Amino acid sequence: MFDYQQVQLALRAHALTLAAVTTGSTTLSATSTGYARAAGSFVTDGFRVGMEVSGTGFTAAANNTGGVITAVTATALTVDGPTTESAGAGRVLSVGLPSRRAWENVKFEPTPGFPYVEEQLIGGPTFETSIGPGSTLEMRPLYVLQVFVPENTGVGAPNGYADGLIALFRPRKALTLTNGDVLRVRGDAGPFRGQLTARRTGWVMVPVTVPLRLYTLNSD
Amino acid sequence: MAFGDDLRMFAEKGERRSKEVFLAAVGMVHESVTEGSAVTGAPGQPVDTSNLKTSWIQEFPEEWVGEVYTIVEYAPPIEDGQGPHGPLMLRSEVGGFHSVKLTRANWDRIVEHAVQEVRGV
Repeated sequence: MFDYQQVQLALRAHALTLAAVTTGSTTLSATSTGYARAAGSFVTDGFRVGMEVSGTGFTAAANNTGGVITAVTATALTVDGPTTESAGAGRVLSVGLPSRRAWENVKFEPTPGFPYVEEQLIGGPTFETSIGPGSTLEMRPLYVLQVFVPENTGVGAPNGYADGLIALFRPRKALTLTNGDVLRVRGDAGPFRGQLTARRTGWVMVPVTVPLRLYTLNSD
Repeated sequence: MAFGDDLRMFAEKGERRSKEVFLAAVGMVHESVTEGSAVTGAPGQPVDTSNLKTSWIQEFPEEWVGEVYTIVEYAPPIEDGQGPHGPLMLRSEVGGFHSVKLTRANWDRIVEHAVQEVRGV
């Protein structure tokens, strides 16, 4: 039978794997104003103002924690937070799901200047696809991730986050629940994003809606 | 009756039934967004003064084009459940958020049910 708890936790766990933008493993340094590289391009990689970037492979914890991007050039990211650290190989800068997350029914206050994401799991219709006892039930929930980015930072960040989520929850993507049921992103009505609009004072929001399909057995 | 006559009658019936399905489907879209629907799972519009709920318009700008829309400026925040100070609290005893998304995501079921309605099944 349906287990919304499993559905929600599986969707949330998958959302947390978002890698909207990444340098891949490369040589990077940290400066008093952010990050720098000698080869490659932050612009080409897709880093945009308003995104929250984090690092791996740096010695200083602050350089792995990262922060919000306020300027981008090919060889430099302006981020408030990092401390100076000389160049080293095998490091990664990436943009994943914002670290500020408003999970359903969990108290949350956004941090000014930081992007955040709010989730909503919407039940959708449930109906039989076969007849008789032990019939197959189809349920069609919607998983909505609303990405809020600081206002007046352009369209790069919201578009980057939305594109990344739609790619992450691509049609036919399957998530196996702990009870063995398979939750799948629909292909007949694939994931879609809404318009970028001003919703909350200080932020603009772009919603990403993921239509899902789950088959399970009717217990009757 | 000649075979050609049979074909012409069949084509006319098909055209007529297609139009009936089309009209029924658009009507079901309107109902899903405003009143809610078990077909789509949409809750319909929340109600305070009924201004938003009654503002949704169903129009046919072309023969085979149906539009369901509202010009009420607070319709998008109600759809997304987000206001200027954060998530909206649902105070209405009826309706809810995300009706347009649910209607859109379950358009195939609307068409299926419209066909059943026209066929009298």
